[in-house]
Amino acid sequence: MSDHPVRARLCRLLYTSRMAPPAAGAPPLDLHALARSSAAANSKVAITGSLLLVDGVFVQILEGPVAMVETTFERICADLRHRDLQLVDLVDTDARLFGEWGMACLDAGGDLPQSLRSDAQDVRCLVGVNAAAAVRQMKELFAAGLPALRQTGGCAPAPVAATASPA
Amino acid sequence: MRVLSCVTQDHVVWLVVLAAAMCLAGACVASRLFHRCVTAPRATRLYWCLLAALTAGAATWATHFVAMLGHRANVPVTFDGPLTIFSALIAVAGIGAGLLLATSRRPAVAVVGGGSIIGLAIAAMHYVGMFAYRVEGVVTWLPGHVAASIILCVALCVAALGRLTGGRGATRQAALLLAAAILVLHFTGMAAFTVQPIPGVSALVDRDAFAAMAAAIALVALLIVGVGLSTYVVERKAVSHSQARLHHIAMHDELTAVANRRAFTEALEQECRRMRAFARPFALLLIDLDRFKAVNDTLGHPVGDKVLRRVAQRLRKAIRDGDLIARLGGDEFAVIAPNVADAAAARALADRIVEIMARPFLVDGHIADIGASVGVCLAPLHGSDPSALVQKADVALYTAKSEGKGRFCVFEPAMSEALNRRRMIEADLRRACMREEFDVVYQPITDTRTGSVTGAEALLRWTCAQRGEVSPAEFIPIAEDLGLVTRIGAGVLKQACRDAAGWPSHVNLSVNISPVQLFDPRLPSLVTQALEEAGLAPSRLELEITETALLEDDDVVMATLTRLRELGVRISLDDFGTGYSSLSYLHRYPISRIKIDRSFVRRLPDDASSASIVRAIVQLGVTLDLKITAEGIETDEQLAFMAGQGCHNSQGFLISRPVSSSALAAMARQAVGAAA
Ligand SMILES: Cc1cc2nc3c(=O)[nH]c(=O)nc-3n(C[C@H](O)[C@H](O)[C@H](O)COP(=O)(O)O)c2cc1C
Repeated sequence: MSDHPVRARLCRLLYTSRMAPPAAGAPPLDLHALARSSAAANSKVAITGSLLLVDGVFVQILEGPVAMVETTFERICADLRHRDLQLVDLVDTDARLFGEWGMACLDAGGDLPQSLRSDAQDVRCLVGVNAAAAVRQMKELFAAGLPALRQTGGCAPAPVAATASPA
Repeated sequence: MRVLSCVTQDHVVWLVVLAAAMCLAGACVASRLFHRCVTAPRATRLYWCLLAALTAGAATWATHFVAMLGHRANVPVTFDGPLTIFSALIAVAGIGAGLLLATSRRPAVAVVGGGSIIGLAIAAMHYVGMFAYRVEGVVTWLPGHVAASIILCVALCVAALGRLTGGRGATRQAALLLAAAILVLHFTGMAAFTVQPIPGVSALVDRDAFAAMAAAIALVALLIVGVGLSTYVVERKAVSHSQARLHHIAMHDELTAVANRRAFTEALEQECRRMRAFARPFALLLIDLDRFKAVNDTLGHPVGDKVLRRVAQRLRKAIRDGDLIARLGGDEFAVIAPNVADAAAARALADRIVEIMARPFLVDGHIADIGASVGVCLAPLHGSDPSALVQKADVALYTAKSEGKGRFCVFEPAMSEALNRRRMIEADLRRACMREEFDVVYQPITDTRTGSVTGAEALLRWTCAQRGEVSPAEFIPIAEDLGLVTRIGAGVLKQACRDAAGWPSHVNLSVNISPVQLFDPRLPSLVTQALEEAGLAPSRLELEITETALLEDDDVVMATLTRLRELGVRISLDDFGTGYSSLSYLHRYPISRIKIDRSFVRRLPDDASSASIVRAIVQLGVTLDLKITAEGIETDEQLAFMAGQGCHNSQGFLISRPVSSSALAAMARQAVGAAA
């Protein structure tokens, strides 16, 4: 995946936010639908990454060409379905960490195995302290968590892998 | 009079009327197009000429033949096809040529030359058309009438063009003149024409030829009306489109495409009228971007412009349908929100705006961290005319900013009072600065163990002639906003150095330095100057800075502090423990003392967590070889606790309130005397 067709400078962005309470009369946020549409939109602009929801907090990583990350992040910033959005980290990078996934998504609520859930909570805590470590931990969490999830058919992640590579 | 009788007797009247009507319609369209020809810009002129020539030529031609159909020839008649078509071409080409000449820059050439050619073209068409009109009889022509017809036609055409090039809006008169030219020529020409039947030949008309003629003429008539109509529509559309564009430009901000100040003013007036008429409440929000100037200054205007565009885009996401966004200038925006009945709805809207603006803007690889302050007012609750509402929202906005930015405030009457007070303080403060109305008093600092006076912290006092003593907590932030802090601070430093020079030499001086002063690279030279003027040893001066100033991690600050240390001046860290808990700067910067903030001391010795924080700070001091001062000592227990912890120095009301310079000198001598 590192030999992505787009040879533009790559960067990786990490932000957190809280899930906003749905507006009066509006349906609650459908995470799976959100993940699906995000994955579709991201694959068009060569963005990969992961989205984690743990205890009402989103932790999302976006990686891709700088300009694309900027426009995608701007759209996310204009979205009122979350609150207290904090940009935690923005670094240049040579290689994608989440190249295999379009926008992998993990909901650490519900029927997730206990071990995964506590790993997810670790990510959330790490984010405030050490962004680089949080990114690594997130990568491990998804590497460990997603295959298991797909087998059990539990909390379904976003359409993974299939949307990963526009190549 | 031959002409009149020719019209009434030799013609079928309804066909004459039809011909005249067609002529008039054609002339109207043609003259409109003529007008376009002479006024159109170069690039499109040829196109208009062609269109005009086609229409006018066709109109002439159709008029001629309709009238011919109505001609009562008492002999068999046929039309020569090729000649008929040729006559039409003559009309079109001739009129076209005339029009081209009419666009000439010399009026005489344009009007007389152009008009004559057009007139001649019409005449040529008519007489060629007459050759195409084959009659089985003896034809005679009256030359006088022929000549008259041509002269009249040319004269009328010249007059028509004269109206066109003369002034605007004369197209109707030109149309009438043109129609007259065509009709006069035709019927005068017909009066010149007589046919005598050849005996024995019956007066039968060729029905087929006439039907074909009628169809052709109908088609031409349609063509004329069609061209006229479509030009009219196209022109109208172009005009309304360009008017809409002009309106859009006039009412919208070019950069962000939201409404501009003018549109905002109009919309606000309209909303106020609606409110009065239909009792429809609404909310007005004024939005100021925080820290936007810094973005422009450090990242440049192109980045600033992009940020502004995105701000507008985000605002669109935050508002409700039907709300109006306007950019009032620079980094000021406004939202008019109709049908907002209560503060809760307005708050929700303002809250969304604050939330969405607090998020970072990523532009061209830069992170622009701005934010927005929002002032909200409600109509009719807070006012019902535009200026009152803007003023109230402005007061609320101002309050939001002074309460720390990145927030919104809904107007309350008390805010106006606070703002008025602030405005007056601003004015007084400027005056005070000029007159040096400030005093310096000194809070003694003692050795925690022995209780003897070892130094004093210089404190600024302002006694305003109008309002009496004003607390530094109130006026210092204002002075910072007004950019007066550096000046006031310099005055305090000089005064304090002069005073301290008169104290016993073991008594040191502490002076507070604001972050603004610290960022000023001239600070070291100011300090040098103050010390030299007063004759005070640098080792007796200690400058107190706050943690916030160090967070910026600025090279200027580092250089300034290093330079001050080289002078022999010591640096202490004020209000320690309240700010950010990054301790790294304790290593990095040349700091020799930390002052434990009064908020911890106040809760001593009963509050366990304060006690442990104080213990930790003292421990830190020991490790890093820093002196420790406890601020705000008010009870004996607190003093005893600090002494027990090994805190070096103390200050607070227990020891003494701030006193004058001479009183401090007396205290210091007394203590020395008592100890001796
Ligand atoms: C937590 C969260 C994560 C999102 N992640 C993405 C993403 O990775 N890519 C994306 O295109 N949209 C993402 N979105 C959706 C965008 O915010 C936005 O709603 C969507 O792109 C549609 O934008 P538009 O209405 O301007 O077209 C996310 C939204 C939320 C709340």
